[in-house]
Amino acid sequence: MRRWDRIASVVVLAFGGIVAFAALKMDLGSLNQPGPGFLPSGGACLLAVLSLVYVVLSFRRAPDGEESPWPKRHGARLIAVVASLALYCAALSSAGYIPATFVLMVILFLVADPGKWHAALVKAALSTAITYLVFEKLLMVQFPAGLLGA
Amino acid sequence: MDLLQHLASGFQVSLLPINLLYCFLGVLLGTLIGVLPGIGPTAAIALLLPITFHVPAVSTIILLAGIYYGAMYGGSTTSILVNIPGEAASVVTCIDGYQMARQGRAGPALGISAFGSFIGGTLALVGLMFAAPAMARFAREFGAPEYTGLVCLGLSLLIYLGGGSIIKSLISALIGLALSFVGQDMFTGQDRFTLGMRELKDGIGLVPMFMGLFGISEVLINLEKTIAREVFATKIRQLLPSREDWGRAFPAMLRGTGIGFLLGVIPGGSAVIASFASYALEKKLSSQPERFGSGAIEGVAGPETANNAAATGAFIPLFALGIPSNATTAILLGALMLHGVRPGPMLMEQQAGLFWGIVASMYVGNVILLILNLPLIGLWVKILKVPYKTLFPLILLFCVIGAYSVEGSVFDVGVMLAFGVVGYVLRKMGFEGAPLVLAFILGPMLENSLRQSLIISHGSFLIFVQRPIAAACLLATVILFLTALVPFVRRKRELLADEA
Repeated sequence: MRRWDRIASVVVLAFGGIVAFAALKMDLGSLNQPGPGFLPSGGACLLAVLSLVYVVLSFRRAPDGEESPWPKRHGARLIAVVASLALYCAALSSAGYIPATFVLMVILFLVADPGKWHAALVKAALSTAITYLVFEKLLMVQFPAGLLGA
Repeated sequence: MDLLQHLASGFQVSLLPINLLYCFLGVLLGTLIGVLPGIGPTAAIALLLPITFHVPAVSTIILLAGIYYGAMYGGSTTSILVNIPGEAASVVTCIDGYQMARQGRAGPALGISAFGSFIGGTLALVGLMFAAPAMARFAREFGAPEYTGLVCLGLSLLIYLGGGSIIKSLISALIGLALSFVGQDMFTGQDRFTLGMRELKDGIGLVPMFMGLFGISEVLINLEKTIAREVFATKIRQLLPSREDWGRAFPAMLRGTGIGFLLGVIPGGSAVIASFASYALEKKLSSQPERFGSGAIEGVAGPETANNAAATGAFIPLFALGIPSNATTAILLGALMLHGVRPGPMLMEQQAGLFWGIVASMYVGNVILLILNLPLIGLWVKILKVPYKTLFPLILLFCVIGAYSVEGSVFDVGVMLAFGVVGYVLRKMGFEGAPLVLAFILGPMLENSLRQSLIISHGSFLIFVQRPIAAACLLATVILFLTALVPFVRRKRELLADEA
């Protein structure tokens, strides 16, 4: 965990640095009349200082067996879920709600129960159809029509 | 007398058929969410936010508040029957509740937790009715410097009492603060951190951010583990506790109400801490502490009462000051703001119907919960058998639709996913989500009041020392962080965090 704490502190430091850099380019104003960059730059500097303290503390802490916080099992499951959701975001506008959601749900149900294609196809079709009817037809949410709207 | 008149007008609002329906739906959903391990009330409220856009503000909060305190009722069912807490505030109920179930006393354990929840919730409501208007009257004199101090103190208390590393929680809060700056500056209209994106001009959307941080990340965390649910195979009978059970449990309930209410009012003093504190107190006061851990009914009654009292107490700073005390009430504040309602000292005057309507609905909700819980236990047990692998694709689809439907924007779905991954990483690295959310919500208030204070004082920070309330809040903030450095206090905090 100590190693991961150090990596996290560097990421936080970088984040604080970027925010501070962007904030300092804004109008800081004066103490009489603080500008839009006043609090963001102060907050970002404080964040950078705290991340440095975090780095120092992670070096001072006794090693705890270097236990990784990341999953040893089911890691592929997580990646599959996040990747399929990312692809869904990219494809939703062009493909439309029905095709994109159907494919997403097939993948998610297959991740839940690998190999059970028939069940995944039926559950995906049902969940897509029901949510489409409830949200688009009943609650008037306008989903992207995509391929089916052309 | 005024109080009774207000309460009567509140009941007129809450007993309207539409509000009764929302109250019923809220507590029913809350109980369901409390029963189901793998989704907590914070995530559930975040997921339901988009649906409430077309619903009046008072009905929205009646529904969402019902989910919050309803989950406290439901959480005990899984703790007692499966030894898996349905939500974090019921962790401690597992210890003695499950032992009671193993001894064939699942019925009295479930019964006493339902009665305890009812008593804790109802008595805390009486406290809420007196304390919230008093706090609001006091806060009416507050100006910008006082709000700066209050926001700092609220955030510090949350960080201090929330458990976990103080440095990590502070970093979390500062990340939340940085994210709150995205969008147009409220004084000059200048774009800040928008990366040239039109979608970010109004800031990061509350709903996709909350759904990502709490909904998606919770699903990702749960995907890592296999939750084995073996419902205790016993016939649940005799739900009404015996006279002897009542004799042991009732004093624990009263003490649990007191502890829970006080810890609920303090930012960071969540229902989780309240339930642990109550358990520790009951064990300490007992003449037979060895019974704890092997089925002591006080170990169920005290914590279950305390977590409900804390959930109700948490509404006091939310309504009276506009300052939420935990992640769930932060989302409720977000919901009120989305409906154009600004909680704070003037809420009870300007929107008396809304405030008293919500308070009265909580009385109604507690009665519905007591009636619902006992006869429906068989149904909850059946629902417990639904495997998580069937639920998670549907939760994700619901998240996607919820994030999209707010603005009809695919961009928001992306924001939700991004925050889902960020929330997952933060949780894995031991960063608390609550300070991030609270700082994100309170960021604009902090910036506004800080800049206004400096304008009033012509750039002098002494204004925060000259105004007694602001000075007291800031002094308390400094003392909190200094005491956290004392080795004894640090060890105690770490111990508490480990227990929680």
